[in-house]
Amino acid sequence: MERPHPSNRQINEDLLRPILHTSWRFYAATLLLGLSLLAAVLAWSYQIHRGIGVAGIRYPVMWAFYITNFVFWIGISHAGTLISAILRLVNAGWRRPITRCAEAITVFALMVGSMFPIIHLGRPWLFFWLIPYPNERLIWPNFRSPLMWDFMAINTYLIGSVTYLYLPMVPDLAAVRDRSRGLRRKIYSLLALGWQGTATQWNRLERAISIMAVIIVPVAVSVHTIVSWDFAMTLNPMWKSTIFGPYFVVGAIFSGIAALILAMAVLRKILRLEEYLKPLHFDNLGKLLLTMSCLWFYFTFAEYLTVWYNNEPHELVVFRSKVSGRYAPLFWTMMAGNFVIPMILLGIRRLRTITGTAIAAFTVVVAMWLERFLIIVPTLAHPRLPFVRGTYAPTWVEITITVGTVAYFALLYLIFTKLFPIISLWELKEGYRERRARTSLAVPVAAASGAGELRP
Amino acid sequence: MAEWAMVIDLDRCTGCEACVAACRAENNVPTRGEEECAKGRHQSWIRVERYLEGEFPDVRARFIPVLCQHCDNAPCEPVCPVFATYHNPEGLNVQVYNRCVGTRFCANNCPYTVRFFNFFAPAWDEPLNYQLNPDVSVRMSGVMEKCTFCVQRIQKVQGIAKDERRAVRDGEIQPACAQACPAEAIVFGDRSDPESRVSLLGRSGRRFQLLEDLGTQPRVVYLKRDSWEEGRNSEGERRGTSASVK
Amino acid sequence: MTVPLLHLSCRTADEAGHIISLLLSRNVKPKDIEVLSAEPLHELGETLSGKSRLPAFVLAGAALGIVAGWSMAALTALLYPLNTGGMPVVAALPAGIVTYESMMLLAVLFTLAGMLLEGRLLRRRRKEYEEYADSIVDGEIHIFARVASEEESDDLRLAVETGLCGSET
Repeated sequence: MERPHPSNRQINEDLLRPILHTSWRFYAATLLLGLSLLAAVLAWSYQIHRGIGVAGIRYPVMWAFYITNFVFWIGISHAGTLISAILRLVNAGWRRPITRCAEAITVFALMVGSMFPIIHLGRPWLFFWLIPYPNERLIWPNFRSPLMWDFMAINTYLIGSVTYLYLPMVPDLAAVRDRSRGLRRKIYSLLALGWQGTATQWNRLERAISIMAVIIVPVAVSVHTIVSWDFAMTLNPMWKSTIFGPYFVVGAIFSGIAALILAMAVLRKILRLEEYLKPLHFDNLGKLLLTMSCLWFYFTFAEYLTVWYNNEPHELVVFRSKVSGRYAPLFWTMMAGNFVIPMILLGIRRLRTITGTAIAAFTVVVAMWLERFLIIVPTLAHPRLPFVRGTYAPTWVEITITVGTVAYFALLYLIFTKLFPIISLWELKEGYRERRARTSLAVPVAAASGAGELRP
Repeated sequence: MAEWAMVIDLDRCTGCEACVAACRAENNVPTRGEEECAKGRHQSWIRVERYLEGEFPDVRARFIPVLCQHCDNAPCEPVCPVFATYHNPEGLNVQVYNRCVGTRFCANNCPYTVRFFNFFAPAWDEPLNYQLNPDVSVRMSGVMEKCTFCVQRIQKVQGIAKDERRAVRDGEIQPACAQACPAEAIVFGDRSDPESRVSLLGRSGRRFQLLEDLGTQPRVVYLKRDSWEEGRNSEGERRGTSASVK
Repeated sequence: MTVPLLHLSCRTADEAGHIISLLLSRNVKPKDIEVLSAEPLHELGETLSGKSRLPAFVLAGAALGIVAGWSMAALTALLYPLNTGGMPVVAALPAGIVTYESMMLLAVLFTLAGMLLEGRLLRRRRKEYEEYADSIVDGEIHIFARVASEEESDDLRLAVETGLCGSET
């Protein structure tokens, strides 16, 4: 029979290659990223030693880069779980090669993002006071605080998305186990949980994955809504907004898709996955990104229009500082990166190539970071009492930590691709089999095989 | 139980900032140096806001001392994840330094921006380090602080009154700012006692509260002659707060 | 005395389907058949493994999560009746948010636990699996059936082989 798709053997070889063989490039990249991470760790140590004042935050701008990074990374984390869960639920066939690399983004973005609330604390060594456990302090966390909701939501989301990443990976871990020797085999044996691919195991695994897909969508939505409530629960001008929940969720999915496209473009080049990550995937995700760009613009327009039209002085001060004041360059860069450039690159079919999509994704990621910054800083710089006005500029500590955590994310991702197949082997094979079956349905004998007579 | 409150008569305030200096001395508020202050790292539990109105040569300066308003519905309180700030039974909005982990959420949610953060370990310029008040704890790096209504003085007087088996007399407790005010613009007392000076002044027709419409129910009442007639014509009032900054 | 084990292998899910329906029609019980494959065989999974109780696990987890979350957020607040910002000590809406998250968390954990239990994971792998692991990864499907006697095993094997040849022409 003719095989238009790669054979199972070919898939195994292509996708297990990065795990079983390591080139010097991997070590070079690891070293580079590791050094950046080290710089960030040193900067943070310095900050703990000297006090949080070595960062640029000041009265009244008490939150800045760290919280921007926090919101940004939590937003990026919506790439995976949400996109892969939605695509799984609607059973979109083209999802197969991209679900895992999306889910991995979620887990690592969450790991990086959830460090920031701790980095930003005045006394980070006491962060565990937010954890509800029986303690000798005679006090319990305050569940009325949005930060506690954050803690609960991120916790749930992290555990949920690790589970959601891990479950579909179990059969592939078993495949790696069966293809390796020695210590590596022992480690993967542990990770594969004794998987052998019996009918029962497959059945329960698929059930569990689809249940997880259903659970994880509302969790993801709740997480970014709660992050937005850190701002919306306050009394501050341009924070106190009922639209913030959905606005943040849309922004999160938007930046998440962009991050996914970027990651895929990089993986495709580095791991030579041209056979699996095809122009079709970039085209589909590009359209999705375009949709989210429109949706983001709609929310932003609604948000700014109401503020402007209300003409309320406290709010208008913040509004003006963004649109025409001190923060205007950032604001219009954000507009270009989030709306104008994606509109051109993704809206015109001829430009929606892999390169075009990747460029648009990059501008979106940058602009979404700016969006978070512009939500946080201008409001804090213009409190209600006009006597107090502030500015903000980051210091080298904040910049080093920010860059270092980007490197940390890349490092985690790099190591992940080294240890685990970045494309789900079994889902890919299953997809190819289904497509083969569909194309051969015309042959009557083959069509007779099957489902109907099997039921006891 | 007493309900502590404060009345500030703006018609008496001369903007001399004696309250600011007294507060700093009483409460061991650290000095941060010129460079840090320029960056906005100053700490000043009470500040005198100065607004200039009108065009030269017809310029008027208006002063308003702003300190923690000890709101009954304090927005800073529920957002703290570790109960470092809460409402004590006497209605004070208290900050428990030892419990604070430094999320700075309370400062962000304070509409009066009267919460100050210790960005570094406390330090005092010579010779201020020799006059620290032994009744007030110094705050370490990474915690939030703010006006306490001089809770150490309240407790001291309450202790004396208890020893003498009597109630606290009106005017017996004076926070440092009230004590230092040469114009006697600041009055402190128990508003649950209808005959106390704060209660009497607080019922004045000149009363208003800062950002009253937010519903925070501040415990600080300001007194001001009705300036509606002047205000209507002044540029600052009409254009709102954005214009009055300058 | 060991139970005779019939071992068959094939390349595609369709073939596996044929073999298993043939075995079932020859009165081999579903629980005596074991299929090892590197990809899911949807209908076969349902046939051989019986009804899944995973939804019950999820619901149990969610219910426990609601109880745990509400107790944590609302009941413990009563232990520390501190007044903040004029809010009630047991604030229903925030407690609801915490409850929701803990409900989801326990639902996730119970799903995971349910899968591990029902899928018989975390146990020793079968001897036969080790033997054929390599070919399974490359797509071979192996079918094992416990049968009463050697003769029956040969009989079934013959039937399967002729059956498959028949379908291929």
